[in-house]
Amino acid sequence: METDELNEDVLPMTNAFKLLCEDFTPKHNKKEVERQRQTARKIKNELENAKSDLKIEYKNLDFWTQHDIKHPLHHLQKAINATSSSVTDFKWVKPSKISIFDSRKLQIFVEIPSELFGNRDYLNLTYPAKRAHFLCFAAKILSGKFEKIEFVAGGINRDDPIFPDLFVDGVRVSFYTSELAKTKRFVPSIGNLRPATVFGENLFKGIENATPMFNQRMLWSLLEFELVQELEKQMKTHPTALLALHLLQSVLEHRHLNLVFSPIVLTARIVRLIKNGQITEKQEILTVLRVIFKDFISWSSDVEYLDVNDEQMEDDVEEEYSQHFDVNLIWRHLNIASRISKNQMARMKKELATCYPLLGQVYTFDPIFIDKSPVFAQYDHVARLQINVAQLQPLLGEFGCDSVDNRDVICQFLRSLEHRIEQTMSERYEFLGIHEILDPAHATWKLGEYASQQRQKTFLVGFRSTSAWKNPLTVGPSAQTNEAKEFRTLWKDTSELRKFADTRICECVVWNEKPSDKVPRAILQFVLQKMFHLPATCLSWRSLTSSSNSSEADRAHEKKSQEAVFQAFTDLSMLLRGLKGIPLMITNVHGVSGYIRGSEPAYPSVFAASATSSRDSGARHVVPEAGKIPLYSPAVTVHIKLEYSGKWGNDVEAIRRLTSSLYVKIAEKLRSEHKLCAVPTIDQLFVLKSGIVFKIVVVNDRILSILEEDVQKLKDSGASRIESSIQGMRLAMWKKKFIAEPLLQMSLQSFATSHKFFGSTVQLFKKWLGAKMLSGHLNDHIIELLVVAAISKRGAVEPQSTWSSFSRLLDLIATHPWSARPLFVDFGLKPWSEKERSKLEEKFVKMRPILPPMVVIHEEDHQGSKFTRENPSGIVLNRLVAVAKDALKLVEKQTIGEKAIDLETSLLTENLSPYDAVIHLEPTAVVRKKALLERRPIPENPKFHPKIPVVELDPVDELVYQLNNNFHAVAMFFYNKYGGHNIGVMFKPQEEEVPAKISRCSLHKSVSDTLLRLNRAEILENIQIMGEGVVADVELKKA
Amino acid sequence: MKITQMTRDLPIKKYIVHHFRDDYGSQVVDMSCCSKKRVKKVPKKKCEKVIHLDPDALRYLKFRIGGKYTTERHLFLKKDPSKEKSIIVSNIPSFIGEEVILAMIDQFAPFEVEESIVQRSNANDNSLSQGQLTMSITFEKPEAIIQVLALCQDIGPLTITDFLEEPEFPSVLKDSMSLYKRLFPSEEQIQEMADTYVERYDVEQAEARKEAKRKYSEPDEDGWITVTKKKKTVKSMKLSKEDVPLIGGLNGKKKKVDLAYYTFQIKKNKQEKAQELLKKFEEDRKRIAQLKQARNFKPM
Repeated sequence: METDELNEDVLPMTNAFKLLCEDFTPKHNKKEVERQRQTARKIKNELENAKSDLKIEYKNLDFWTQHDIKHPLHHLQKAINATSSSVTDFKWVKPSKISIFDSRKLQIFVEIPSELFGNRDYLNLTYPAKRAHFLCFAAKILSGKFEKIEFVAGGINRDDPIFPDLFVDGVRVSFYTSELAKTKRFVPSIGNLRPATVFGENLFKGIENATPMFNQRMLWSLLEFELVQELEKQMKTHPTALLALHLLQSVLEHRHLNLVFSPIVLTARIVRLIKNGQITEKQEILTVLRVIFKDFISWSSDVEYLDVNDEQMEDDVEEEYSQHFDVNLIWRHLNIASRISKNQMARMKKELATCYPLLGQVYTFDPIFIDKSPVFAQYDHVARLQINVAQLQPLLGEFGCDSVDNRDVICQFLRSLEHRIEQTMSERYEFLGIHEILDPAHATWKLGEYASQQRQKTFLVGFRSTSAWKNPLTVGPSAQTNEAKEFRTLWKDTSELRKFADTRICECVVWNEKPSDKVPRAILQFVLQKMFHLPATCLSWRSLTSSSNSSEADRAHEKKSQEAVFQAFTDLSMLLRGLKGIPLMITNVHGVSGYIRGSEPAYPSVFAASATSSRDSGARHVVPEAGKIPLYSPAVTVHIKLEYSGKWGNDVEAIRRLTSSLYVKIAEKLRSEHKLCAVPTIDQLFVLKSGIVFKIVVVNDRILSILEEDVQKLKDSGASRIESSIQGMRLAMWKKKFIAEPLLQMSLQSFATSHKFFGSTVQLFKKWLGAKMLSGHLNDHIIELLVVAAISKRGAVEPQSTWSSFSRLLDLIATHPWSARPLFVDFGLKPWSEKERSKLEEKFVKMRPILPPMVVIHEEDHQGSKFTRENPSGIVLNRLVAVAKDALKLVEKQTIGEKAIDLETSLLTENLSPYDAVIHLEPTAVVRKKALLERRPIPENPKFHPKIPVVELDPVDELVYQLNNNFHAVAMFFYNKYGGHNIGVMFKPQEEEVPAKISRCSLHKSVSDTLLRLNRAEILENIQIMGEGVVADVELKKA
Repeated sequence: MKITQMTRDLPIKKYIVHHFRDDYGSQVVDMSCCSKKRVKKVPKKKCEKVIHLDPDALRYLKFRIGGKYTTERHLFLKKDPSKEKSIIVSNIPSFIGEEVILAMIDQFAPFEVEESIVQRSNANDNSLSQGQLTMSITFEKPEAIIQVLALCQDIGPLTITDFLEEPEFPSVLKDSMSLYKRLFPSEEQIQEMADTYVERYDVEQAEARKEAKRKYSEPDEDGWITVTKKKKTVKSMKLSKEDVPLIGGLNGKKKKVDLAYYTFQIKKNKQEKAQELLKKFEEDRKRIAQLKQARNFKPM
């Protein structure tokens, strides 16, 4: 990624941003710091004055067991036996230097005297073994004098158990020696670790090879102290850079990149900028941050040096470095960035580039620097990879080189795997990430124990997919070329020749007939099984939906119906616009329905039920018959506007009547000219097109001006509270229904077009809300807005799949401080400026007491309460947050758990236990359940006249509405709109017992002269009476 | 057209059911299913009691629906403090109907009921056909009240179905189905409704115009003629050269006008500026504090 792509239209520094940043400065606990200092001094003192006359052979690792200490390299006894040294004895010698490094984190560096090492000890594991001996000596000296002494993994990323450090009461004690060998000895091409010494002669007899990774580990151990000193020297004089470092660390940590981009790498990169003169002491924090972000985003893959003025390496050495490492940041032959892979770089750059334009804004500070989202929500597709060293045995010849133990073998394998995946499917993803699933206490271990052997490791493999993710073909080079040969060998001769439309003939691997999620899975399996000979079970994909055929068919069905709706709507709108011979021409056709953008689950189907009514065969529509409830048929709402006319008059009712006669005219035309089934009613026109029922409504702006005039009149007459007057409310209603909602729908529609997975995420969200019995508690618009907010959250890379967007949605619901902040939704297009935003936030704070619990601000609603005024209530919002948290846990379990679960089914499981009473519904009244047979569009046949079926009639919806209407004072109702067979009832606890007053007596019965008790039986009986035909049974669960 | 969905969209329905029949493609229909019930004559029960009772106490009357619905329910009765001859009856299930309640009261009331009115419902949309109702019953004589209140608790439980000839209650399913049917009048009906209304409207408009005209030309009862002022036509505004930069900035340069003339003015201006900056800084600080507070906020 190049910096030219970054938006240079940047904000100036503001006080508010500065305050926010400064607030971020880590606060040191003075007491704690002082305690650590004392500990450090004590350690130094102890080590300097220690005496020990123990003398051992350095190969004797067992020795320490008698002192209750386990030599950290104990499991490598064989390898150490195979080493040699000119100094074979090892004893305690007073350290040549002990320095207390008192910077941000206190650390002690102990230099091991050079007399303990022979002149070729840098070879093989001699140095690590001796270093560990010294550690054991120190541990023995210190033990008993301090509360807690532990071994801790060392190395640049603090994860290397071969070069461990000591952890004494929270202070890290590192050991090094400075005069082991020249740094040049450790350039990548030199082999310092013979694989035969580690893994025996059988496999590696006489093999010598380069050990770039081992060399870097050695170098780190030798140079750590000097490097840290060098970095600190620069950072000390640049407090702003230090602050920026903290901020950057936080950014990367919250995006789960902190393990590879360790503090040392970040510091080194920033120090490089200081040395270059790009960061100066006087710069503001915002400038420094921008410089740093830009530098990280443009971090090149060339070999770069920490110190530009330093003597550079020769070209061929540079070449070696760039061959062995993806990223190179060199300081005295030590590659500080040796552990960073290409994919991690790509991901880091993508994340920072997303944040860069937002730097300096007060309201995006939190999303960039503070909000943390779970690791599985960062990727669009995830899989769990479990690797056992035993499985890698056959490949030891490859991965054993440059490895010391199992951990290294697995690391080498991963690197090779990443490389293979890149070779085989690089066009399908932007980057991938491999995260180890760790237990929290992996990095330290007690003196008397061994570091975990880690024969088996588990990883999360995540992909950020591109549009080519599901491609059924892997297209290779043109036939008959050398590349084609390579391609064939890579794919083990499974490729074949294919001729394309542009007459190219290419090598191709064919995975499937159609694009499918199965393709990348098959490729990865191919890589693991055919290239690494691993069992198929070691990788298991973790997804929302099960990969079974039935669920895939379901998804295909959903997609098909969405396409059908869209097509039918397009045809209809063309037809309407071209309609001639009606009094006023139709100028504007606007679809305002979730079905058009696929955000409404088509339960049971979007196609109209075929209408077979025996009675009054002349009618063009069907009415419900007593005792028979038809399955649900939806109607897609379409708003139309007519050309301007001055003849509408000044009376709303007159306009309504005129419009209704217009519906009759349009219906006649549609019937006579286009042979469509069209039925007008007073307020809308139903049309059946391609098997889908459309509900056409004329929107007349004249009504708006009449209503506005009415309000104006009222205002002129001196009325004060316009909002609560009838005129005011009518105007507000009209505006909401015919201006705000359609505009919002338009934004949603275009968002859905640019985000293909939007519809499926909303559908899943709706079904999930249903399964949690929360249908109806969130307005449909709010449901979609929440999904938009989760997808287009500022400061986060946009998700590309239902998996990631749904995970982020759950995260958003669970973590947004609903009562303290409004949620802003800007569709990612036209964000509010800082000023506008702060005004809106200020207004929110002022109005908080009268605003509803959930406030969602978007372009059509600056107050944020238009669609949340009535629902959800505080208690329901709390419940929503709680169930979202549960669902997140479930998703996490799905990603890292041992066995894959059918997540969708688990997410959509109903739980009736929390409710006081349950209303069981008649199975025939549940009209939104999945139909047994898939409905198809009614074939267009001139002989057969289809009818408009019963549309939008859901008795359960009606019942729930009336239940709320009747019992809102004493109970709450929870139901699943999408085929739920039960309604949950919660009685309001404050109504359980009330004082004997006529105003509170409804649905109570008298227990004494002063007390009334809730008459639950009466309520349930009322429900049965009003629900006759819909309610099968009512069950009181808790007395 | 979703029958209740649309009413759900219309929180103002409660205010406008009757005089606002829909601006928006959906018909708002009041579900008046509280139709008159045919009430059976049931012979009076004889009750006599010596009365000593707090006249303001909340009393109840036990009853049940009957048939398969056997739960004991309480009607609550209370003296209406504002009317001497009335009692308030509350917690009446709306599906029972006014007549049945009157018949029940009649069972033990020693005097005739003069008037009764359903006052309100506890339903969210205030519809009198839903929820629990409250009624006011006025007797012929004020003495009735104390007697009714005294006797009601000893009666019963009464059974509703005993009072009804056809014990049938409205249900959501039936209501919505019948409502659905009513939403589809025939095309001729629609046309006719439109024509009649528009005709009437045209006539009304014509009359109104005539009336207005008459006002201008003929003197009213007091001999006055209303005279109104003619509207002035608005002249188009021309921009002077100086105004242009203030609006869009054609040449981009603003003329700097220094209003301060005396040194003390300059000084004051400076101070004011500093004050303003300080104020802004304080505001920022407040804002940040708020943000921080929101960050630490734990909803659960």
